[in-house]
Amino acid sequence: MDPNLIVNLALTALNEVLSIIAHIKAQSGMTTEQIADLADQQDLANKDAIKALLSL
Amino acid sequence: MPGRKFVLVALAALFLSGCPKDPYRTAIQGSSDVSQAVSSAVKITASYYSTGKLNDQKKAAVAGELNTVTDCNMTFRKAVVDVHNSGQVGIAAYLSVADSFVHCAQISPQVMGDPTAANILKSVDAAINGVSLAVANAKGKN
Repeated sequence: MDPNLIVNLALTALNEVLSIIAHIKAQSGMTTEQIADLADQQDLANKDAIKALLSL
Repeated sequence: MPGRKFVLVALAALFLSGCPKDPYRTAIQGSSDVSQAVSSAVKITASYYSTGKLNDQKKAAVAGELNTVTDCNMTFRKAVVDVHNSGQVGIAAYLSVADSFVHCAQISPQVMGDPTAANILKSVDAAINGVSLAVANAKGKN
């Protein structure tokens, strides 16, 4: 595989690790209701992102 | 692939973070973790597709699984809030809802049979199964 593609995939994975870490840190200072609201928004965003993924 | 290991380690940290909490918060956090895992999986799927590691058919299969997981997760979270609002505080009611979620969101073995799809979906699968485990270990009366 092209080394540039490997770097791109590794960077994508790294970005996702960073977003998971940010997610953990953000949850610790939130109320349960705030976490639920955030998850509601994330799920709606996920539905849109999945639609976009299917249209690629 | 090293990237997948990073994601799995981060997810393990996610489930091990903090001490046991009440089942309501644990269930909501678990649901939020699944949402985050799906978000990451969508981005990784797009990246795999753009680099040719995933064809149209496999991309559609992965997207279909992620869509089902998201629908089940939304239903799960609503059920958790309903249990909380009904005044139930024990683990049992939450565990029943969590088990239903795990069953609803279970990723098809056929899709997981493909190594590339499995690479993408393993972290989502771990997050789904982690919900039941986390609720079972929450603080509360049975």
